[in-house]
Amino acid sequence: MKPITPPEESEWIEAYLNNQLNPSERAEFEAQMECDAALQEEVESRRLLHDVIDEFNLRAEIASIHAEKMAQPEWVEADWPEEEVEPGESRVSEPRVIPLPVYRPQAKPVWWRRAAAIAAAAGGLWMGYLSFAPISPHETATHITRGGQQPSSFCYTNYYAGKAYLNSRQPDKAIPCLEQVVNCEIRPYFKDASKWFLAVAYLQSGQTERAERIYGEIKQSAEFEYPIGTLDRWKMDWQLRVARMWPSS
Amino acid sequence: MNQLGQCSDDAIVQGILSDDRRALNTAIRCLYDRHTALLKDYVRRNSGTPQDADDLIQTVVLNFIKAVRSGQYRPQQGVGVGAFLYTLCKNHWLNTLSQRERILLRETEYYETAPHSGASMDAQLHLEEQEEMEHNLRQFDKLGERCKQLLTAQRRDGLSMKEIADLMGFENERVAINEKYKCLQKLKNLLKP
Repeated sequence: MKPITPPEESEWIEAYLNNQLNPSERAEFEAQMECDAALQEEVESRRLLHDVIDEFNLRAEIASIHAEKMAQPEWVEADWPEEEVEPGESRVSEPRVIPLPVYRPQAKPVWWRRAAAIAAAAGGLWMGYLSFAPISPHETATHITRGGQQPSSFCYTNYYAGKAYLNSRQPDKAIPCLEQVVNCEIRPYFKDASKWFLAVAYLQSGQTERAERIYGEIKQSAEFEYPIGTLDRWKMDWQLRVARMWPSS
Repeated sequence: MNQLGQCSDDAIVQGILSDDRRALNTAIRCLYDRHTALLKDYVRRNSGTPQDADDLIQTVVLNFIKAVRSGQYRPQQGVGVGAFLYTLCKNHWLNTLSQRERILLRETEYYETAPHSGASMDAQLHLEEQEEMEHNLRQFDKLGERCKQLLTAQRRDGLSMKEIADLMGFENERVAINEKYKCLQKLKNLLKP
């Protein structure tokens, strides 16, 4: 039966909205609502109030977890780049203390020895660069979506997420996304780009055989649309070779 | 408990859909632990500040929860939680940038030529509804502290009015019910257009 006082009626409406009435009470409420326009209006208005209170609670919950997580050391701005500085503002950095080299008198080197040492050092640096410099996906393709074909959002979502994971050095997460894209019916450009990203991801996650297989396909493909930089190809060739020689590395 | 299992895509979605506040809390923590590093990285790479990342991550987590609750996101659709969050993040960030009139031309082009991708997922969070909710929340904030505490605590923790009376020091359940009624009336008036 409909309660008499407004506060009691308010509780009654809330119990209905929260599914706290038993079946017969619920039937009674709905029967009353059918011919009581004021009650219908009250129910609607109460729904809105609940939505607002729930949203407030949800945001508060997120904010409190957010604050807690952001206070953890791994979140503190260690990896933020220098662009943070506002334009026009100068970055005054702490002078770096460079340790003084220890002076050791040496015999004067013969010129060809010096040349050989420089060449060896340059070669070492080059090998080091090829071995350790990351192969990262370029910021590409956002402008190549011309044309009337409309690839599914599913493929695109996985494409961009895969690329982002790769960019942030999480190849294991990139792989499942990119593997999906390779099987998508989308423009060849994106498919080819995904193959390359996938090869990089496999390489980074230590799955050398898979990386080799897909990179082999790329090399044999006559109409590969994604432009891979020459340096990146060299890095891939070299790093695959290194991974083959020392499978554990 | 297996950390990965607890934070798998399915577990996160179940936690969000659950009525249990603790399950929701766990799901949000999982979103933070497993997925927000990527969002932060995205903002960092796209000329955002740490403050931008702070705002964006909270908004993306909120929108994700809404997308799950409204059924717009289902893991069975083949898009992982991380990938979906990334799309929400990208769209929200591009909106933010365009509002700041700093958007790059190529991105504008992309959005003009490819409105279907990702953007449509975000678009269901209708702009107008969002605006209205923002307005309503600002109004809600104008309620007195005691009213806010009464209304939020009761809905958040599912307390009975007897428990509310004890918690907030009302004389008895009836007084608590009357106070709550007054608060609701106040809020209703505040929300009136």
